[in-house]
Amino acid sequence: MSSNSSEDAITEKILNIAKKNPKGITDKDVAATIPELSSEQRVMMINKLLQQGLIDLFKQGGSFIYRLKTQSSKQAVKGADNEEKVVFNLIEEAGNKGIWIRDIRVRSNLANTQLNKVLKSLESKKLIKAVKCVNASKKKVYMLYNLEPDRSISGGAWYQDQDFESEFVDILNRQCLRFLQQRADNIKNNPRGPIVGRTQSYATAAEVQKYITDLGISNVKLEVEDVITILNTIVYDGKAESSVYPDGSKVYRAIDPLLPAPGLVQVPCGVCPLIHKCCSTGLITPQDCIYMNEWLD
Amino acid sequence: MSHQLGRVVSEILHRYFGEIVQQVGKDLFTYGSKPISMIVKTTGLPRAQVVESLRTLLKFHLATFEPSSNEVNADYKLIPDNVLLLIRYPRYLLQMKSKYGSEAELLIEELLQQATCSATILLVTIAKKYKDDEVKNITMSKLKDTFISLATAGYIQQAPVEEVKEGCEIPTLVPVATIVPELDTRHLLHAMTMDISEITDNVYWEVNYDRFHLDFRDEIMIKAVTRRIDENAGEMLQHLLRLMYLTSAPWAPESNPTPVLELRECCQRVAAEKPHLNQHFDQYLKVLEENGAGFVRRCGEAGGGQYMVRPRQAAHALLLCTLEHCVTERLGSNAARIFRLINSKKYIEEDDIQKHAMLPNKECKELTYKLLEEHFISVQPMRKAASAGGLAKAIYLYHINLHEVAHTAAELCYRALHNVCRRAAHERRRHARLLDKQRRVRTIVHGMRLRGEPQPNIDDVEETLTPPELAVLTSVEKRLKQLSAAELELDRTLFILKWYFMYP
Amino acid sequence: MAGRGRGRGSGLSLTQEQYQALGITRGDNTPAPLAPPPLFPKLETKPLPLTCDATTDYMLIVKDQFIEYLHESPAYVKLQARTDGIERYSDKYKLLSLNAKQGKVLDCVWNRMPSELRPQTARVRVVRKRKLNDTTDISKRLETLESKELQEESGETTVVNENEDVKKDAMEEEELEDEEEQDYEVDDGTDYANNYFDNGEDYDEEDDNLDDGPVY
Repeated sequence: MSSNSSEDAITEKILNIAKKNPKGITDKDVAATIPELSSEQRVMMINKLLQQGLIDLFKQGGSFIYRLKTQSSKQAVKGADNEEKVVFNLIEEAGNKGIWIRDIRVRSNLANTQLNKVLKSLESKKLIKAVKCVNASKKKVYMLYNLEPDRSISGGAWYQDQDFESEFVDILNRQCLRFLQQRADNIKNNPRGPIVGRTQSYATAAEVQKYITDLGISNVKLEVEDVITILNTIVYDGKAESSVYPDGSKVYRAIDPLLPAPGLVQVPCGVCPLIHKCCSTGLITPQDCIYMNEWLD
Repeated sequence: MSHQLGRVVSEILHRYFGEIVQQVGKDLFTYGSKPISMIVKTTGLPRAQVVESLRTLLKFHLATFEPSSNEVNADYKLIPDNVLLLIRYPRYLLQMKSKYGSEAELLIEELLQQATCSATILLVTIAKKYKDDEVKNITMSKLKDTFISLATAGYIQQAPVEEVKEGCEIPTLVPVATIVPELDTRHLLHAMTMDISEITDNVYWEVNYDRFHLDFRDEIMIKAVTRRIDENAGEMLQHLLRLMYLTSAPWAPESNPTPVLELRECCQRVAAEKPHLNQHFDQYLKVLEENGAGFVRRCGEAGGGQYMVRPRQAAHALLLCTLEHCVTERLGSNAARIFRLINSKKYIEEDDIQKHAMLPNKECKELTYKLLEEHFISVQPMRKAASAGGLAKAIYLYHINLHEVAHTAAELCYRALHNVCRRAAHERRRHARLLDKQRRVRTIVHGMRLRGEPQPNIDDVEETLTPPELAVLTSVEKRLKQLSAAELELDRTLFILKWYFMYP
Repeated sequence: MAGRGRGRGSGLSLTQEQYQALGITRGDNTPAPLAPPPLFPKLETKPLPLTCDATTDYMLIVKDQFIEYLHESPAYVKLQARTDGIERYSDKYKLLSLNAKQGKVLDCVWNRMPSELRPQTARVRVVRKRKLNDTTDISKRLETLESKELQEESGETTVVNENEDVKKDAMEEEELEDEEEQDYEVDDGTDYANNYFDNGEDYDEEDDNLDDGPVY
């Protein structure tokens, strides 16, 4: 047996890798990080940690995995009744994706009123929080208080308190498009040939991200992925096309539609909301059409 | 065939050939195919007028006939598509004028007016008409040469010839291969001196609309590529299209492979005008393939690489573009974003639409339903396998059935075209008296000018149109002009739709 | 979207007394929303400007010329001058313009037309009828009588046809048309009265159906 200080160092090491892998670590992971430990010692150390309640033991696909217990979970264990513990554990398990109240009820087998009481109590202790789900506004999910909700729940950068910020998206859409348009004409008659021209007219998502960040219009940090989402809306607007570089990075280029506006939308009937009610006789006819009058005057 | 098509066809017939022909045309459209006696019965028109109307319709290729079961009478059938082409005539003339000059324009104009005509009569008529026109300076030999080059290029073709079966009074028209005629200028000049009725030339010619449509198609494709890349790429596509004519059926969905070498030769030949294209030939080819909306595709490696032109793909892309414009203007650009999104994802769930389109939930749903309501998109319910609880939850996938949407757009076009024609007819009718007066004043003034009458007299006649009347006339003319221009533009939209429908 | 704004202000609603103090009673704040929505709601987007350039102008001119040509040509089938019992000042002019074109026949390649559409068709048809007589058995006698009658008539018709080019007299032309018409109606098994009735009906129909406005 080595000294206490070396034992502490090993404990620290195990806890560190456990921290890095919130999903859990296996015995092998421990062995790989601390090769100097014998398997016996390893088992002993793990057992000690389990005893101290610092880590949890799970069984996954036939092998054991260890997972770091969060600080709060330790607190919860203290001075809470059994129901609270069960519910807390369920919520903890759900991670930052959260868990729906109905699922808690089903899995905890608690009655509705009781469950509500438990949740209230946990909430008041600031151990858990309720988060509104962006893609189903009525649906609330519970997760640990200190967790940052997953993108699928919070909607990422585009949501402020679960409200979709369409104006923000619009501004970004316009700015990104402007950036693309500034370089779009490089393809035309480029003296160094169209391929160089095309490359000059392309912009990678990273370039656009840098441009947007430099503009300072967003107080949220936008990841490259966020910018790609915006760039894709430009593609869906028909104002850009995307392509993939050999290295796998996506590039974008501003384009014009293949055709100028067709004749159909140059006449009132093309935009008329009543077109399907328009007949040869009756109240809505081409002869008496107000839109047609306006258009002709 | 759609009700809307019937309405617009009827309106066009009214504009071009008057009320009686309209009635006969409408009747034929409604009933498909029927003999004279039935037309007389349903329209209640005198037989003589039905006969006259049918002559008009047949002459201008707006209807066909075939022997009915008793082999004595004929059944007549309207060709609605050809009626729609009447609106396109001005474009044919413009094409001729800009591509082949004024002789060609005159030839096509006269031939469109005559519908079918023998070469001799056609040329003699034009030459006689412009005998004294010194500005145009039309000579018989120039006319003849133009006629031959138009026939060679396929803009005009020999009309189908009749074949009469023994004892049958209904001829059958059989298409014939066009033989470019040997025309002798001296004979033609001699014919000038004869009476038209004495001329014996029984090889008849007609305008080959299809040839013009190919020109229009090429022009649209080249313009689109020019917008996307640049004019050098447009030029390259033009060469590819020209090569396509040599090897493939002109309307083929995809051309036969064209070797790069041939294309390079073409581009080298125009190196003087397009040095840039020649210099960066390979690059342009690559960019055209990768960024040219799929109009061109590499299809083989033999002979240094082979490429094909894909008119079907072009029609598809252009149709989409047309529809997107249409959605944008009708329902806004956010709806167009959803439309494109659904198209690019093929099948998509409602939640995913919102996620990708980055629109507020409510707006997104509203627009999706509006698109659905206007038949731009459709929905496909998918039943999930019943879960353990027996709760089978259906999911709804949105998608675009392009063919159906194209039909929706065509209906919309027909409606719009009908309304525009109708409105123009209404304006004309409302101001018929004034327009008539203006016409008469113009004729009189024209006559006076020819007779060289003094200016004060002419002014007197002109002043019979009072200033308020003139003001009304100016506004009516402006309105009619706008409506007329709208017809031309709508026809362009219809052209793209028709082109798309060509490939089932 | 438009209707939904009304609920907005509910945050600061007033009590009944306050309303009354303002002169609003229960009864009279309702009439405003009763007006029906406009038949033509305001357009959210205007149609885009028409593309109009020199080529459009050219095409419009060419188009008008073409239509004018057609209207002057026999391809434009005119209404037969009919009177509805009301005499109009314009009748005289209408008749004049109609009759000016009456004599012209559309220039077609007749060999390529069904014989029933050819100008000399009346004669051909009678001949055919004789042939048919040999085979028909039911109404044979009736038809023979009829065809004899027709033969006499068509004899006249032929004469008229031959002189067609020379004759400019409008009245004569009118007669010819009438005769032909009558002839055909007999063919179709309708009697003259029926024909006459049909014409009347047709006229009514035109008035009902706004599609076919009268030609002025």
